[in-house]
Amino acid sequence: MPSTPSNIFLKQIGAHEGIIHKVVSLYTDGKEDKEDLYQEILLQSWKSFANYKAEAQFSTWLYRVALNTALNFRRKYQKTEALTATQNLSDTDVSAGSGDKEMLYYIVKSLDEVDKMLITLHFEGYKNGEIAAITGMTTNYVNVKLHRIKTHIIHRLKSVHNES
Amino acid sequence: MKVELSNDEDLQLLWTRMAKEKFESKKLEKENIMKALKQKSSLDINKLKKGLGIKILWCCGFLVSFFVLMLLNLDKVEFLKVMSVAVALYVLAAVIMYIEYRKMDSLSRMDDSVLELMRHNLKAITSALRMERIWGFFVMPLAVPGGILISSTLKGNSIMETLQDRQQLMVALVALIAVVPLMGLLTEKMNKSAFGAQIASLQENIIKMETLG
Repeated sequence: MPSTPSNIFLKQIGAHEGIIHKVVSLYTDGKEDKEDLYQEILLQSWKSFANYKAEAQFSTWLYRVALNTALNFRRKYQKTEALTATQNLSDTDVSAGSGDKEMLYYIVKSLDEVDKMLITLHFEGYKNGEIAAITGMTTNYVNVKLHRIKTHIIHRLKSVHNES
Repeated sequence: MKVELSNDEDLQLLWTRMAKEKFESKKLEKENIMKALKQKSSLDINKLKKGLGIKILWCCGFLVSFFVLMLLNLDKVEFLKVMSVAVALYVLAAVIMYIEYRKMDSLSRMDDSVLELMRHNLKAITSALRMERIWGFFVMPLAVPGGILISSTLKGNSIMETLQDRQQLMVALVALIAVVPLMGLLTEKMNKSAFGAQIASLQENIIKMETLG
């Protein structure tokens, strides 16, 4: 396959498409919104691909584009799925491994857009300084906010465990 | 392995497992990717940019027709005077809109920091809506008496004669008092329903990222 920009792009997207699935799943509810956001992220990534510098990590660059698109994307459906799901999960057997994973996913999904972005990047292994560079926030703010979000998540997970 | 919910590393481990199960198994088809690359953007900023582009084209279209009319009526001095003012105003409007249009070019900024892009988009959206307001409140009121002046001078009347014509003045006044504010109000309402939520969301996110509250 010749190494044209479109082929390089397709190869990179193929290797990192989990990022797009993650951002779309966390930021949208409803099939139509999900499809629209997929398309929009792919389109914006392609249009910005000329600016991508090979020395930077593609995953970090793609996160930036995907989060920027998600935060500027207009949703047709209101956020209800995440809230309902967290309520339903509290009634299920969360002591099983899959329960914890699902619960963590839905707690993160139910966070506001900014907190969701910060904790996702943190869970993906980005250091606070890197998160600050991606988001444009100060490292100090990232430290404080992440501490609060983690406390909130742990509290939510524990309260569900205690209820079950 | 039992996950301790008070430990950050364990939470990260839980997340990694969840992400692997939930997202890594999904695969995007090449055809779907290629299809997406050919789609038009649905982001508000792009819709507004397109709208502004259409207005610039309308301005250019009017300018061309103004010039044609002027060329066909070179003997009517009064008409040429009115048309010169109209041309100057439309050129000014087109230039201002073009400057805004260029400023809205956010596509190359999608890999900026999130906060920077949100600030840029908020500025561009409010600026485009301000343009709409200017269009509604200044260009429209100018267009009504302007249209009357043009048609009257084209018939061979002088500017002074047209301004002294009670009937023409009444038409212009009714249009200015009733139609123009109504159109302005409608534009404002439509913009609020179309972009109000998006502006509020951008403002809210910017505040959240700039403050610790």
